[in-house]
Amino acid sequence: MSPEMLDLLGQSLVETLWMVGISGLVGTLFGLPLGILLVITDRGALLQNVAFNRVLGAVANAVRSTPFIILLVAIIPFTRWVAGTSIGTTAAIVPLSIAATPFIARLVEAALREVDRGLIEALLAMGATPGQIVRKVLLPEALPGIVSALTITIVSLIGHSAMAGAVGGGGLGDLGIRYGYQRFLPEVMAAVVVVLILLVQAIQSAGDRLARRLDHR
Amino acid sequence: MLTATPASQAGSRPDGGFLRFCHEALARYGELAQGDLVTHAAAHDAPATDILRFPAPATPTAAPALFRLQGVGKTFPGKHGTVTALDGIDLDIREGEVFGVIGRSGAGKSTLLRVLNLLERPSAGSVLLDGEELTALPAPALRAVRRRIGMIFQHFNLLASRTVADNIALPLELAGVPRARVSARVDELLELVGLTAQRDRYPAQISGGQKQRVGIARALANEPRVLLCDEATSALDPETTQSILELLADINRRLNLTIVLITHQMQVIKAVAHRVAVLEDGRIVEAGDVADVFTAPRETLTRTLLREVIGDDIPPGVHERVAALARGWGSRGALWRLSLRGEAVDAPLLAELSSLFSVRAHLLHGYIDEVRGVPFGSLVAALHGSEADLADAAAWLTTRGVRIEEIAA
Ligand SMILES: Nc1ncnc2c1ncn2[C@@H]1O[C@H](COP(=O)(O)OP(=O)(O)O)[C@@H](O)[C@H]1O
Ligand SMILES: [Mg+2]
Repeated sequence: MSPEMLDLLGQSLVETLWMVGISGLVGTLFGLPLGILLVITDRGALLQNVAFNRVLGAVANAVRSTPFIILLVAIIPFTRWVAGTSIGTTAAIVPLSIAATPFIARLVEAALREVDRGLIEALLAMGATPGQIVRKVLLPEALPGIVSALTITIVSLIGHSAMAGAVGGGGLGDLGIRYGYQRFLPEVMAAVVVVLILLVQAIQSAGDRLARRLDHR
Repeated sequence: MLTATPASQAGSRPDGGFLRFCHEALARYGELAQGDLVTHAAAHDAPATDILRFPAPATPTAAPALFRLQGVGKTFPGKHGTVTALDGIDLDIREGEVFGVIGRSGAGKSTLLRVLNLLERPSAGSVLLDGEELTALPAPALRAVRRRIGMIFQHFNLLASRTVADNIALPLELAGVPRARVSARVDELLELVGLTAQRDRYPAQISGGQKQRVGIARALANEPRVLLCDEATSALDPETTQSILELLADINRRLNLTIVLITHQMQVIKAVAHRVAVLEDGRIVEAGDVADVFTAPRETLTRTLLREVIGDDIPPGVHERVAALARGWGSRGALWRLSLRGEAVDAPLLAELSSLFSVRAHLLHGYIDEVRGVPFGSLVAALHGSEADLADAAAWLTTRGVRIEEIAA
């Protein structure tokens, strides 16, 4: 492979990491609180609000059931409003974040539901406020699960980011399509696939190791 | 209805003089005036076989009520109509005592305990702590009250993400105690429960008994008025159970801390409780001093539960042979269960009986035990003698403080 190609590969890797990193961050920023809300407003939970819980759940499901490539195109006006442009790496971050948010919310919800009800009881008996219960019990006890959830999210964002080429987002997937497929350069395609495999492996094993380190059960 | 003691029973007290009786009776009526030891009317109908019951219990010095439950009821909506978990519970729990609640699974024990800190809001009645109506408190005030009520659980409910020391520190953090004071207090508590060496371990790295010790230390962190124990030893082996019970008894004595514990095991009640309430289908069917309930259980359920700690069943082979013998005696024989307590336990009753009346006693079965310093026991004997002699013997035994129950041959 030519040095220019290697350069391009490096640049695409950075673009992918940038898109995935920022959308993962934004997705967590919104998804984590939404996951907490899904748990604590459920029937019989700390701050029961069944109507709110239903609506939130329905919205999360709606976003999650929209195929990413459709979401990408459908929200272009919104993307332009947020990012100032609907083309490019930064513009791709908007739909990626929107896809990541309900994904993270649902995974965080599942992790929080694993926390033993007895612990919440114990904290209530100590006179803890709902906020204290979330901070002192729900989040710390579910932390290994949340780390696993974020690992899965990042891996799946790497997959989604390959479609960002549709809005000129760049990244490894885009490189593979444009050079590997359209210009028929199989070695570029192979290189992209290898880099993606290594990237996913590295993230998954780092996430697993961290989750295990945090788990004292 | 109240469990009052008719003064006419004064003479039959097995374990004290008249003056002491008067003293105790006064103390007792003093408590009754406060609505103490209230149970259901049905509980007081003596079984037909009771010739005479023990005189009513002498309760220890009357301490003021810490908790007072009045007409507490709790229903849960269920699939097949509502489930009544508690029904008309009247109860006083006194400062400094260990109060036990015993009953079978599903009797409503946990619900009753959880009503005390309003983890379960009663559907009816009132819950008073130090005279304050808890059900009327707004959420922040209720949280403040809960900080002064420690609670421990069957499955410990420790945070897996925190070390032993950090688990104990949690209630202090919640209460906003400054960091420096937290660590000093945690050290004190670790020492109290004997876990100083385990301070930096995680719950997964310690034994069940040690976990419950952490639970106890955590519950004591905010210097509570009362400690609630929900089947605290039910997940532990007998030896560990013993050591946890000893710790609880020790804490009760040393800190004069009121303890309310619920259990399905009579051994637990026997080991630590001062008073006990027997719960069945959400109602208190019997309540009183542990010594009294153990020595003179009124309810079938209480007796059945007691059988766990005191094997008072006559071996079936023995029962058969003696029953045949007694049938041969016809009206000149009877099978009696004699319940004794206090001084009566030490007296050579059967020997005296034979020398005073022309009655022969065949001892079939017996045990002697002690609860809270009161010796008690039960003897099963087949008696041979004329109807008149048997009646005289029964009357005499009764004056000696023995309760007689006729057993069907
Ligand atoms: N949260 C609840 N919802 C519905 N029914 C309940 C609930 N808690 C307890 N019950 C019912 O109330 C009764 C008493 O339960 P509980 O107090 O747990 O009994 P115990 O602790 O003596 O085993 C049982 O019939 C139980 O099924
Ligand atoms: Mg229970």
